[in-house]
Amino acid sequence: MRSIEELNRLREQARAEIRLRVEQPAVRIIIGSNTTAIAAGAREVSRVALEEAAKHQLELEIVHDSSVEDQAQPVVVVEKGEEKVYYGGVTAAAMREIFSQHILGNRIVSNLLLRK
Amino acid sequence: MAFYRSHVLVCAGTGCISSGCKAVEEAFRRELDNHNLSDEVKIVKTGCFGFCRMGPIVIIYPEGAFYCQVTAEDVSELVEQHLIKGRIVERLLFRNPNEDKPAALFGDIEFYKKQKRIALRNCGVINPESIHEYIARDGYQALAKVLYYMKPEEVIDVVKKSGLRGRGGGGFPTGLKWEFAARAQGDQKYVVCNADEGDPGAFMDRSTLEGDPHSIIEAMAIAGYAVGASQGYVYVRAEYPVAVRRLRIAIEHARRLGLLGTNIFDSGFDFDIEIRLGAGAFVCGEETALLASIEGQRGMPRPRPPYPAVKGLWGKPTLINNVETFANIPPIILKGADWFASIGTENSKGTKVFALAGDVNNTGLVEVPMGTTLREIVYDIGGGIPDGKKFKAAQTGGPSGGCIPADYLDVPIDFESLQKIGSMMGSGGLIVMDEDTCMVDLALFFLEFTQDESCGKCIPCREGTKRMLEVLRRITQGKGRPGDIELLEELAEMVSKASLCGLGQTAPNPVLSTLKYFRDEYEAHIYEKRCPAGVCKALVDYTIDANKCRGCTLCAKACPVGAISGEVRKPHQIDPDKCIKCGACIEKCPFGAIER
Repeated sequence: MRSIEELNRLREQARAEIRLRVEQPAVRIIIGSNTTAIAAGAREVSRVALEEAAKHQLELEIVHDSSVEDQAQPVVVVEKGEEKVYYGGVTAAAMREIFSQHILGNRIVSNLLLRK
Repeated sequence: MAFYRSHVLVCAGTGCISSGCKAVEEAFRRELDNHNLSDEVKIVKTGCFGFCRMGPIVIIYPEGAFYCQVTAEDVSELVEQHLIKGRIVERLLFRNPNEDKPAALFGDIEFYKKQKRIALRNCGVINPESIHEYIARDGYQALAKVLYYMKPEEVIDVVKKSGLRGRGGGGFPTGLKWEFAARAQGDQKYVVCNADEGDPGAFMDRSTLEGDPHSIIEAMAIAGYAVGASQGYVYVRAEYPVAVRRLRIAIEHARRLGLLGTNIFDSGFDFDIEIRLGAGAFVCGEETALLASIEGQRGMPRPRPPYPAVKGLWGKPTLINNVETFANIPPIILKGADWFASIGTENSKGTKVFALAGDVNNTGLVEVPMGTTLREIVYDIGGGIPDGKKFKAAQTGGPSGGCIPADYLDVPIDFESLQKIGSMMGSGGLIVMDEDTCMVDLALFFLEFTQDESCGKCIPCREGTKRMLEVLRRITQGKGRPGDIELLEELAEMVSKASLCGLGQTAPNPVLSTLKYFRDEYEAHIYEKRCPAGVCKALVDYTIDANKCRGCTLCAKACPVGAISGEVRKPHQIDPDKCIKCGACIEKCPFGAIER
């Protein structure tokens, strides 16, 4: 270790490793995960969300929640601050779209929208 | 960098290791593998969460669900329900006593609500074997700050102004100690970390080394810069294998990143650390005995002055601080002296870690601001006394300290207040005792310990504690004589005044303080041949009340020595010659017919 800048760079990298434990992130993705949702592909959707988050190095939280009730499983809820947007019938491809449109671009994907 | 959606924190402190955390961790690896979750969920082995009674403890983030007493059999349910379906497994959550709903989160648990964690800030949060996770929590920032922006005198000034006092027992102002070592002349100086934790029941130093070893390394380097030392030693007992292993790993990682070694941060400052293992002698916690032991000599104290700050290891100026003291240094440097001085009481700043043990519901490690009352620690954090029994006293300071009776439950605890009521802070052991404790027996227990640990160098300690022990033994055996109390007091005064080191000087404290607050119990033992708490076996007789006994035979079956006889449905009798007074019959009797 030769400089404080080097230490700070390392700290920024390392913070990402423990962020989950110590901070509330700005964005939360809730994946409906009851039995119906899992049968309809919720785990694949969750994996895609994780892949995308890693690809874009985003500070967000992905949680599974079996209490999200809806006919159109898998349901994905995107939570940004106070705003909660519900999407239904989300496939792996749709999850990628939600990522590029809504999470990165702040545009709601209207054809998947259940409610706000 | 790998991205995980969930972290499973498994406590890997010594407490949880003995309650089976390794099997839990392995089960998690297996189950995650079976469900193809290994690249979605990360398992993190952490240091001690402090709530050892509830171990093994598992916390799952991002929810922060606090699961306790988890077994390997519970793991598949946790993976299938929590990690896949997002359902919190309620039956494994902690329940505060007297509440129907389980406390889902860390912060909802009474045990943690009143705590303030400075020394233990990273324990149970990070993986102690990862220097990256320590750096993520602002690790080594304090070292960088002093090497970049502060002169050694300025560092000492901050420590002085913070009001930090030694956490190992004496409570000597840390900044002053640093100043003495800095002023001392010498071509070579040393920094020593005293991790020879010896008080029965105290384990805060072990937990800090196990859970956050880098905080000690960083603090020792800061101290080295402040006093002008380039070499550090950690003196830790070999009975702490987990702590030693994690410290070794941490030193190795710090060297690899250049945070130990030569020219740290390109500042020209060199510092390195070596570990010295102790064999677990209590006297080696005394600083001069500790230094002798590091030098490879027999662990025996020598007279002071000269103090180690002037003439220490191999005759060179040496700064010695305790583990918990060091753990406070990095936050003080980063957040400033004023921040630290704003916590605690007038003359005792900051927090103190206590090892809560004995007759209390929530045993474990707690860190509270100085000035917290014993009542808050025992009842709010500790959850009160088990089985609805009454609080009798608490022992602080281990075998060097004294007892605090119920009258002083509301005294704010700090260095001065404890001394005033005849006890001491010590290293932070806190043993709670309920109404069934015999105070003479308690004094005997601690004196047996100090007598056993006396190194034998000076006569007052070697002989005095032995004589005191003889007197105490005969009192508990029903052979106490009139004048024994006075004899104990006389011996106690002599031992504490004439002994060479802290071990002997404080050894009579448990006797003196129990005499001060529970003299009537000593008198009952000596003059009435009666042990009021029913603990001292020689003074207890078990009898069966023939009017209450229904002849159910449960007591006879429970008796391990066959001392109880009688016909079914007729009153039973105890043969006093065979009875070993174990009390097994009392526990079994459904009619309360057995008296002692």
